[in-house]
Amino acid sequence: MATKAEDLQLGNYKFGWHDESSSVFVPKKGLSEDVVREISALKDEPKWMLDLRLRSYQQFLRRPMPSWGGDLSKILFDDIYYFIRSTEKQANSWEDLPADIKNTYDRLGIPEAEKQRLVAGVAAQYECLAGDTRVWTANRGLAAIKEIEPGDVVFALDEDSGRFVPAPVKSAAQTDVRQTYRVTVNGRTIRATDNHPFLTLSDERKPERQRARYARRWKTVGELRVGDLVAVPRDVPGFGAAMALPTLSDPHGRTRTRVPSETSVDLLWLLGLFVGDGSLQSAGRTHRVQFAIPASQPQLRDELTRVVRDLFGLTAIAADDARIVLNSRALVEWISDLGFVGTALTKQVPAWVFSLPLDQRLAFLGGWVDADGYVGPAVSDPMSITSGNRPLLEQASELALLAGLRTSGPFEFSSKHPFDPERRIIGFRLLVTGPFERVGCRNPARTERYGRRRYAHSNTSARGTTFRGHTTDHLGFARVTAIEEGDFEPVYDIEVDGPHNFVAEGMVVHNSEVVYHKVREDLEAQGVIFLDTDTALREHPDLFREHFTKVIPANDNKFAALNTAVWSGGSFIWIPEGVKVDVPLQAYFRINQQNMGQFERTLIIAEPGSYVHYVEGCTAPIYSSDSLHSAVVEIIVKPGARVRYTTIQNWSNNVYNLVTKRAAAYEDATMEWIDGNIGSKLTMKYPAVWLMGRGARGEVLSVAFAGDGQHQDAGAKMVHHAPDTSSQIISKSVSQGHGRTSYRGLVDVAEGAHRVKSNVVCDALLLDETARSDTYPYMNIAEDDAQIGHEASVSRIGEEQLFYLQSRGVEEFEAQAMIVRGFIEPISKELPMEYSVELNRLISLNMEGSVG
Amino acid sequence: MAELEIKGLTVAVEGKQILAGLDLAVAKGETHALMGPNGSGKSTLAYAIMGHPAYQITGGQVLLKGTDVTELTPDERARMGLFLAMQYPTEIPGVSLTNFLRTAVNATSETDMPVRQFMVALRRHMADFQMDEKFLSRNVNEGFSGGEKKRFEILQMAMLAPEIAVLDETDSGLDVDALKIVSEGVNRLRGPDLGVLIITHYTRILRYVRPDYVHVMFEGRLVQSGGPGLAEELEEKGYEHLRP
Repeated sequence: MATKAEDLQLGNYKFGWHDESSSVFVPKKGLSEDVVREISALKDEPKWMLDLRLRSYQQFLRRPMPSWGGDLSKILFDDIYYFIRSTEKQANSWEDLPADIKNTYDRLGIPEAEKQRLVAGVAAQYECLAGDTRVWTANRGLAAIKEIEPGDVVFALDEDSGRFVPAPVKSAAQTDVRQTYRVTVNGRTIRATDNHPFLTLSDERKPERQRARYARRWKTVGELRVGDLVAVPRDVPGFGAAMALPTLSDPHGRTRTRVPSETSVDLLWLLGLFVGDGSLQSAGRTHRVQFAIPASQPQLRDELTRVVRDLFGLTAIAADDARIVLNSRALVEWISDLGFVGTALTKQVPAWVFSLPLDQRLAFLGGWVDADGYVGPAVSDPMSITSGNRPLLEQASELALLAGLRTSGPFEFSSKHPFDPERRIIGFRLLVTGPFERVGCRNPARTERYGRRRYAHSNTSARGTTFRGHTTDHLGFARVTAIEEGDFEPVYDIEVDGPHNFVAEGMVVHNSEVVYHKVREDLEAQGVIFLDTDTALREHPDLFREHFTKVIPANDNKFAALNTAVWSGGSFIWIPEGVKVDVPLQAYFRINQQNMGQFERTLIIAEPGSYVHYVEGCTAPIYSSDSLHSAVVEIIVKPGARVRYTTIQNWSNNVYNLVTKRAAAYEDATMEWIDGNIGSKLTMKYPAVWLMGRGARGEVLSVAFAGDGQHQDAGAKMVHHAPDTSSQIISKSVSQGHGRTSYRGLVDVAEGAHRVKSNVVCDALLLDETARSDTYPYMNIAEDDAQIGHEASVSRIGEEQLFYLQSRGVEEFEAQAMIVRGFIEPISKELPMEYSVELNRLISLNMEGSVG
Repeated sequence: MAELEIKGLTVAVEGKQILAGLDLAVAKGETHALMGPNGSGKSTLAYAIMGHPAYQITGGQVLLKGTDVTELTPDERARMGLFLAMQYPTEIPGVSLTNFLRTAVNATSETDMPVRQFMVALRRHMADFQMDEKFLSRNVNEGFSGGEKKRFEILQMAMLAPEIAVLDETDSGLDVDALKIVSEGVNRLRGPDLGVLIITHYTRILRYVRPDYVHVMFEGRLVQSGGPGLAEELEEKGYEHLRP
């Protein structure tokens, strides 16, 4: 969905939010030693912190303003609030948030998932599926999730035994209207919200190992990638019960026909045969059930004759070479009563068939395949069923899946008409694979070919030795073949009593349990500390003091000194040795007041061998006059650890965004910065990695968009202090109108740092003649054996590319947006999916804003 | 009524006149071949029909289904059922083939095609053009060989189901096998609802895709029109004897 810029009416920055605020502490504008003391006193800080703040304040006064980068002369340091304590507590759920924030998000059309992120990454949320998602139930076969009611019985995976067990539904409801994503596995597509977890096998091989090591993990749609393995049922436990059947309607007591009192294998085989080749005829005095079974299939005719005699006491008549008929008005009406009505193109399998015992369902499929099916002669041939009625074949597919078989299709085909060479027949074909010998066929033309196959795909093979250990006779894994953005639509969720999952569209998905609450518990159990920085100083003073300002000293630069003097808020994360946090940690910083400087401070410490991905909230506050955001982020990546830090900043267009970000990476550690700059008046930000230990790796992926009046001066610094270290910088910038982007980067190789590899790629795209882009690469190489690569390109949006897309019907604006999205794709694909969607949307909105 | 009708068209590129009053009409169900030596203005005609901004129409008209489209943008023309298979398809980095095709299919049809149906159709056509599944995740024309680009052009034609298709030197740069695949593709798409204009320098492609009419172009105008026999004559005698 596209939100039109003019609908937003959010003030002078259209794509951010504006909220009214109230504060308990109304400070004076401007900065002095007293203000610094007051901030520290209000937070009740230890003396060392106050001393550090005061020293930093002096350094701030002494350090010169940067004379390079953007124009900083308009910053009025005395016109800024340096500390505000909000009256509002951190919200714990979406519902707790003030209405004005909720409203703004709604107007922005930002995915609902993003709203959830407002609440410190750990919040109540529903994981939901689209309304027509088919859930496997034990009491009524496949049912749309919107029709599921408490008391229905679904299949749930008992994770300990690897078996599926029937489990009752506790609650079911529409939860929201949300952005969905289409996940395709085994040719089946499910539409789910981005936070909906699927059971997956995740490859957790040790570095440098060729063999995969698999572990079962719940992954949300946002974390899923094409190629991931998703749990699929190979077999579900027997369920269903024989059904009592209606009696014959025989008002005059004249019929000789009798009917069975409940369903049986024979009856279901016959009804399957009827769905394939049968029809009901009622015209005038003729009432008959007929089967188009040719005389060339005598064994099938014989079997039908036997079954008809046993079940109904009727004699089947071979009417001609093409047909077998049963003359009984009562039987015609009885079969209609069972729900077998409609023409070849409109008939459907009655719902009750899906709730029968397994052998009866297989017999039904068997009869159907005997009539309309085929089993090929080759060892690799599947079983197939053809029909002109596509929905009917989709029902056959459901029946087969519920019986533990695999299907693909229905596929459309066309072939020559048997009699008329001018005409073509269009039909559909469903392929059934897996252990299809279980299908209860009786036609020797089918059964003779059973058991010939040497190979059957069973979702139990993949590279890697530990894969089979995770599969059972009941549980397999299949690869995700596509994940695509879907629509906004009503979504539903159910809660299961027992195992917290169920089977939907043939995949094992998590049920409504508030997983993110669980995440917080899991984090605590792992010993992870994830707090706001003020709290961390109070609760973990020693850990805090040991690392604070160790990567970015207070006197590093004027703005780092300012931040150290007046910092407030931010995140503190400590990951214990060897702990890998498998969900991204996210935080949201909120600013409440106009003209308030934002000086948050983030400190991340990853102990040896640990992993964390931290995502900084994508905020967009609005100010009535120019304002300053000057954050500091310090990260310590100890030996063998890996940290990824993702930000997309979307400050309003009157904010100076002057941020110092630096990580120290020790032996064999990896640090990745992913940095998106969309908003602000001026950004100066150069995420840095100091490669301090042998084998350390640093990476910066950055993308910047500068619209009219914006200047994005961004880049990266890689400082190689140790041998065998490597770094990569990929920078993509887009400028429009009078917007200006600059790439400013440093690659430094210190003496003694041998065999360093570094590669820099910076590409700029200009959307208008007036847009500007500059590149300022700095290199300082002290060792001759360093391998340093640098590529830079500047291009204008191509007339030929636009023409190509437009000639395919794509409107000019959308064509431009597509080209821009493609240009930044190498970076957006590294973002969690909902962020990449949002990044693309923000860029489109910004482009649209200045076009219109 | 002809689906595509060109009346007295004059076109200039960077101030230089290339087309000098060209008339041509292509009806549904017909296949026309437009031939001519290099520099005769064949590709200019193709671009002008599609509405490339660098090709300035200085006189005459291009009519689609009776509507003058001279002032319409290329995307508006595409949505009216016009398709141009380009001689030099453009690379669009970072835009996946699937995403591109889906956007195009949805842009040119009244209702969005369900994903599943789209993927089924796409896979079927890709199999026809002997394009590997791996193409689905590649970016539009990026790193494609000459033959792959041409196959992809005709794949797009198959997916977009236009009413008038202009094939601009689709045969150039193709080896015999690729030419056969592409020609078979075009033949499959031919039918009562499609008018085709094949622009070519060589008669080679016309051995596989038999035209109903052949036109010869020289210096920005048609100098001769005839049946398929005209192409054979050209093969024997070359263009020079037709120079006006």
